[in-house]
Amino acid sequence: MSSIETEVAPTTEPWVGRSVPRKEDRRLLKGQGAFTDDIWMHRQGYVHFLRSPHGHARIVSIDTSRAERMTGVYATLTGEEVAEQQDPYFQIAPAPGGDLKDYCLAVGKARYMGEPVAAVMAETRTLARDAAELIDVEYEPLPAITDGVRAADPDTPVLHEEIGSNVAWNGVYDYGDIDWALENADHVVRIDRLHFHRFTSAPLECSAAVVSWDPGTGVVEIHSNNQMPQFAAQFMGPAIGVPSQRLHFVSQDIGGGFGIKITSYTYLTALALISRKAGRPAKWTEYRSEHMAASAHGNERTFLDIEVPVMSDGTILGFRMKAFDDAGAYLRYEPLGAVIWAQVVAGPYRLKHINVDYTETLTNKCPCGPNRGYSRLQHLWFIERVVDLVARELEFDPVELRRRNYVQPEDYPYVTPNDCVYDSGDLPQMLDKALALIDYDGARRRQADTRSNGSRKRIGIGIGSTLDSGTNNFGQARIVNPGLPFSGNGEAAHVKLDLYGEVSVRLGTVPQGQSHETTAAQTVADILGMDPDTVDVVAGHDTISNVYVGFSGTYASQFAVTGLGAAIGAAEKLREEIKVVAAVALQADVDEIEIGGGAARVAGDPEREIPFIGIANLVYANNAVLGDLADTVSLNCRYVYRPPFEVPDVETKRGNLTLTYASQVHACVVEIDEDTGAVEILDYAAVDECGRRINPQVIEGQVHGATAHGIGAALYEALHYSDDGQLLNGNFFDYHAITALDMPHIKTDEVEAPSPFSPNGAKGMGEGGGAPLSTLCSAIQDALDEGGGVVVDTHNTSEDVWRLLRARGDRPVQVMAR
Amino acid sequence: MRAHGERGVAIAPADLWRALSDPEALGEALPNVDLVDVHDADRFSASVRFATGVGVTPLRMEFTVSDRREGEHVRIAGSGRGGDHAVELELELDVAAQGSGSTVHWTADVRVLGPLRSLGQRVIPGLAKGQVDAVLAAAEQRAGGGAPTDDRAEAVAGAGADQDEVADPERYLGGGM
Repeated sequence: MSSIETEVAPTTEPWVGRSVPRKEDRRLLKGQGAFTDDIWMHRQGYVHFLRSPHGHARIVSIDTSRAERMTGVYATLTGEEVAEQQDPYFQIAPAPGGDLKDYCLAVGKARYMGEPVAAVMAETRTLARDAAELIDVEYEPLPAITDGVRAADPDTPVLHEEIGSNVAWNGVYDYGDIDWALENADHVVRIDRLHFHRFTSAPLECSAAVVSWDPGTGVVEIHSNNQMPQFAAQFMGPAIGVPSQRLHFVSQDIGGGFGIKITSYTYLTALALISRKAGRPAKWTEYRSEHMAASAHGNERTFLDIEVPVMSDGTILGFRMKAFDDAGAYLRYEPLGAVIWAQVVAGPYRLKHINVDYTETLTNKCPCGPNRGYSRLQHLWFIERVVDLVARELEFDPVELRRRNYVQPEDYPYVTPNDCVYDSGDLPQMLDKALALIDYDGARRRQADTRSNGSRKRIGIGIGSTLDSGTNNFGQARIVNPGLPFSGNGEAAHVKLDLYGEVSVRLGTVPQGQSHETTAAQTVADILGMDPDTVDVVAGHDTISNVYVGFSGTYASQFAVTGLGAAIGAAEKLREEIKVVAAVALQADVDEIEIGGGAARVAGDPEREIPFIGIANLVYANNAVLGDLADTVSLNCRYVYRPPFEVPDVETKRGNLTLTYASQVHACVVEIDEDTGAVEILDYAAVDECGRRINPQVIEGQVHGATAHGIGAALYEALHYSDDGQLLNGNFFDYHAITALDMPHIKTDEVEAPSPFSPNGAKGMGEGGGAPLSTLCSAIQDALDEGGGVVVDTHNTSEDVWRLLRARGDRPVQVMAR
Repeated sequence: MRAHGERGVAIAPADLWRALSDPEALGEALPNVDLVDVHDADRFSASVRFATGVGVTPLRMEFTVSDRREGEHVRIAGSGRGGDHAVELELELDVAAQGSGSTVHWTADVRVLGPLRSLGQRVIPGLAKGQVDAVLAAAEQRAGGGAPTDDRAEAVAGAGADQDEVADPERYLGGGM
């Protein structure tokens, strides 16, 4: 079990690898953070969105006149106006999905409950809300479709007539030779259906923004908690005709994002338009019920007709299946999810033969966004469920089955069937550690005792092995749409030696709690020989003052590689400039100069030293001394880290889709009450491997967060819709977001396998691969195995488990022996 | 979502039916209602304030009284919207003689749309029962009747309520009703 001690005393050891206290906490723990709702702009008006109560309806008419006559109302905005002022957003999908017309407000039709159909700006937030009630909207309700599989049927109601069906994207991924594998396997396990449910992230802070369209300069100033402004800019700019340099995004502290704040660009667009109309800044803070119904949800996915060829020795050869991914009503980030799962096509296993017929459908539900572990956790859960069901049906020990099929330490770098490269890892060791943490043998004895003593409690032991692929190759977008001009990845950073010798860092990323200020300070401190406390990492992100590239943002487990990679590059450039200036000042060769303690000096000659303030003085205020050298150094060093990617082969759907692969092995012991189905987690262990560990305490926090998120989804959190497209639990009364009170004590341990591909040996982490979903399903299944049903869903409430305990004769899994 | 109930009322069926068929009387009798506007003998509008666990949701509703069978039956349909919420309801009231008073059997079919649906699926049966009880009590009072002769209103949140519009009630409710 790991032991984390916060280190504060300076040592000669590198700062990277130490649990340096978080720089962010100094303000956050004192209530001095600046979140979007804290932003106030002169003459601002408050915006409220009027939303569709229908899951699917034609908008016959909208009359805003009563609202506009209300004293204190500044402006209204309707879909009809939007259609005149905004071009439809760029679509990632090719036709037919790419033909979809998406606007910031509903135009012509409302396609999900909660879709904004009009906006009101008023003097106060409550006045805007009251005024919205005076907007008369006449709807013609239409039949809804909420089943992501049935949505593909041609006779179901069509959401977007311009597409002609609800199928947004379809493609077949075929690696190895699944027909051969099924023909030659000793056994074929068939599973009818597995289902990954819809849930969300429930960040502490809902979406919020203050947007001001300056009519004089044409600058649209956007204070928001959008977590990927450059992605937003690529949608907003062309849609509303504003060049990217005039889209000024600003954020400081963000109360959690988890991916679902990437697609808030539709709201930012609406706020920009109503700001322009009203001639005032537009402020909007989302209510929780709005967030639950109409921000973004995680993708729901159904796996059908699963066939798994298995050899007698337990070698799993691969699988064939159909996947139906329910994107909701619009393709706000989709269909990227239709390829991103392929980063982990074989999961942590040496599966060789894989065939996936993948379909993305549109339904009358909230559009999906890239929720933590986006698209990979669905697939990773599928694989883990398959492994457990293979073990169950063919009577393999689930531990030994995993050991046999894991990618082995000596296999790295391991090339998957679709040419992704797993960089490093040690899954068997992680499994050993996880099992040791829960005292696996003792738990098995306890399980046996419980079975034999007539207890009404059942013990189940579960294992979940997942990957957290990080640093996307955006070239994979071409696999879903060969026409997209995207490939590679990158991130920018700027490191500066300021007037009085201070070192400041500006990042291209948009942190939402990931401790970027701290870990960037540690990284830069090591390169410049400083204490992290003396490295000033500017909080938040501002597109005027921060550097960025098109991929900038905080998403997809990549900061440790891309963000810090950029900081390393910029700091190294600055170090070289400091050395050059110092060499002139100290009349030495550059190679003789060493840096440390806020000064540059001649190695071996402590008398010949110049502090950083002296270096800064020479460049900024005393440059005649430097002569021509002053033209070549600026002490302002920008660096763009670019991972070594190539463009994937769109025909074969092969290529290196991700740079690093962190891994997780979780294990748990649950106790199930036979009478109620209640699941109690008795023991939970999370073993993490994320390459070189920059700040163990920060990693521990991420592991805890991802584990809580996964446990919540497995046991408590699910978004349910009625057949007519009504969200049935869009509030915290009915949607139980996990809290500390629900959490078991988490035992943690780690394995460190530095990545050979990243600039610092680190791997992106934090999404966590959804390991708790796999682990809890595995444990529940293990408890049921004395007789009972088959766990085929990610989400299992007490009632579900109660029913599974009583399921008899239900055979969603069949085995064919050869 | 359907709810139903039965209740004894201490006034004659004809008097009760008249009260239930008269938009003006209904408008006055409905609890948590204001801004009643009677359009004609069949139609009226009113602002209804539904109280739920998260506060009061005001809805402007249009009501239509129809299917009148004198002394026996009346149908009241209503629909309305307030902000992001919408409600559609149909209330069937069957009146029969019971001793010196009446028995009313009622069924309500309520469709709630928007954020209110989350909470509504649990509170609507109770709200419907409360509204009907209040209307009947007011009718009694208006007709000069006494206390109900027989209160057989069912506990609609229990066995008397059908949540057939909940997509997957067993799964969703999880025994939490």
